Amino acid sequence: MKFLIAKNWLTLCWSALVVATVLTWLNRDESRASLGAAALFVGIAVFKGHLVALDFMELRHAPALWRWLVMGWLILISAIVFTLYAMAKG
Amino acid sequence: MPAAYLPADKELWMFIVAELAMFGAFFIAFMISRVGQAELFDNAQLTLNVNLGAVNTILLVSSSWAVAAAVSRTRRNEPQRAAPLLLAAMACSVGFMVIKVVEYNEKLAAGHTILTNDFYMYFYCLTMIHLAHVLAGTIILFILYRQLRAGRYGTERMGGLEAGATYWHLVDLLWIFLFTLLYVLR
Repeated sequence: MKFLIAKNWLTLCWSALVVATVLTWLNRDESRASLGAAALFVGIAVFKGHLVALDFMELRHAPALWRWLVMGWLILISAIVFTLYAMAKG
Repeated sequence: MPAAYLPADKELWMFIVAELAMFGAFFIAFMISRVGQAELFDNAQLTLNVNLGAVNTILLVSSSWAVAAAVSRTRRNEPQRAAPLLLAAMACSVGFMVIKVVEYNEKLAAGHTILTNDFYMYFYCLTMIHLAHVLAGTIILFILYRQLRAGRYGTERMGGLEAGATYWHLVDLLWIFLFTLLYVLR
């Protein structure tokens, strides 16, 4: 089982990216409803970004400096985006 | 492969980080502008075609997967099996660009130009800068495809392919955020 997962890891990542995109698309009208829904959308973007960075860009096994520069960008930008979104919502 | 392995070279990663910083600043500028005029941004966003945005996201993540799989196969010294994947990635990127042009035409026909309001100013600027990256990335993919077919990449020679692939994934990563900011959050 472990071998099969490792062998098809990139395809599993792709499946997760597509499912996350479809979930966002299906629930797109929810963000007006609550801050929680908006947090979920930003969280989904972070999840997708982390799969692209760690597995497609191959940063999972890269030197920590480069991995954290990209992951740090993901986390920092998402936090700022969500804070500014919450400020706009009042 | 050593325990810690950085695909391509450090210079490319410095460029990637610079690109991330630039787009990060754009994203923050967009959100700051939104603070004072959330209703205008929300109403303008409702005029976008979110279906096209979602299809484009799926096209880009699919092309990114194809490029990552091509790198993996080439590393296993199977460049012949990798080349069709780069073709598939290019097909997805061309699809992305065609949809973007269709979307711009739709918006312009409806009278939504870069001067309409701040939302549309950001929409056109951010997506056009990103589109220029997609176009450059597609040209790079084409060059990589030809070099792969010519046998220039394999287990012992991965640098150029890894560099092009890393750039392509950056284009994908940036779009994931653009889709969320421009089409979804309101």
